[in-house]
Amino acid sequence: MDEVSIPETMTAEEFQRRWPTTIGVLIRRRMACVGCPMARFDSVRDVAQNYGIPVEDFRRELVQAAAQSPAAG
Amino acid sequence: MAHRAEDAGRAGEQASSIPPSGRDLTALLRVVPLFAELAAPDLDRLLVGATPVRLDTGAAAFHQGDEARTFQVLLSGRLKLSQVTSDGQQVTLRYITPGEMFGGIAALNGKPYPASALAVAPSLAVRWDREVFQRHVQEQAQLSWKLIQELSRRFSEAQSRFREMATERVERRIARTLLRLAHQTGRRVEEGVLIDLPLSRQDLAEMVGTTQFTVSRVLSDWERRGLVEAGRGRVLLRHPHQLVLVAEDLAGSED
Repeated sequence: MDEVSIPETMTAEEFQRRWPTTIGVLIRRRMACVGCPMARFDSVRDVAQNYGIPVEDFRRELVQAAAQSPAAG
Repeated sequence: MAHRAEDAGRAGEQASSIPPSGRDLTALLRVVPLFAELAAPDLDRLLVGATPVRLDTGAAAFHQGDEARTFQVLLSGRLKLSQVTSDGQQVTLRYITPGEMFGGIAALNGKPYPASALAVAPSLAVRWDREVFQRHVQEQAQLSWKLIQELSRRFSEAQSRFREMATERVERRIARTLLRLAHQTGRRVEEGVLIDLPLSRQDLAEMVGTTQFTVSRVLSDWERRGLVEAGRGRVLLRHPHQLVLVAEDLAGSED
């Protein structure tokens, strides 16, 4: 239903809400985004920058995880 | 939920200085989280006894100690809820943003208001007499369930703040307070996240439960480190993530 498309500008709140399986990526990478009050403001790009990881790598992991969500496909 | 609240704010701002009524008021109530899931006929029934109230900046929606006769919801603008303690100290309890109920807890208990609610921006609220709203709640199971959820949310917020006061260093408390305000009223701007409130250092000190001196010291330090920009009654979080690290005590040894 919900096609997986996670642009760099999507907020951390939105990708977690639409594809809850992406939370696994955040936990694995020890990121504080789950339940973070700033998740509604920070984008995929911001999060990657905050943690000093290449945005493309991060985005790919999120998309892979999102594809596992029941809502996806 | 927050998006709806923002929608409520915008919808209210579009209204003219004439208080809305009927269909307009229904549209404004529809975006209030407390009422959002009500069926259309139930929402229409809520209009019974609903009175819109406009508040200019500085006007009081109610005063501490007044008998709580009404249940109110903010549709647009901002209110500051503050209390004067028995030894004369003023404490800012919280800010009310569009979509939130206020004065409701006192009204539900039939107690005097424990705090005053002052508009810090031109605001629009809607109020019901206590008895009228009580009837709505008794007649509508969905409304009473949403009300319980809202009250439990407020209760856990109060518990978190109590824990912070009892156990946390002042830097963490200030960071948490700023993040909470940003989450509630913040706006993404080019340089970071702007807390969209006229917020003085004194306000912040009252919310955190510390002195204005301490708030100034901590904010100056954060300004030097480029985390925030605080001046002329506005606070800009330049690096919200760094503040999250302070609030969550993840900042490492540099602190």
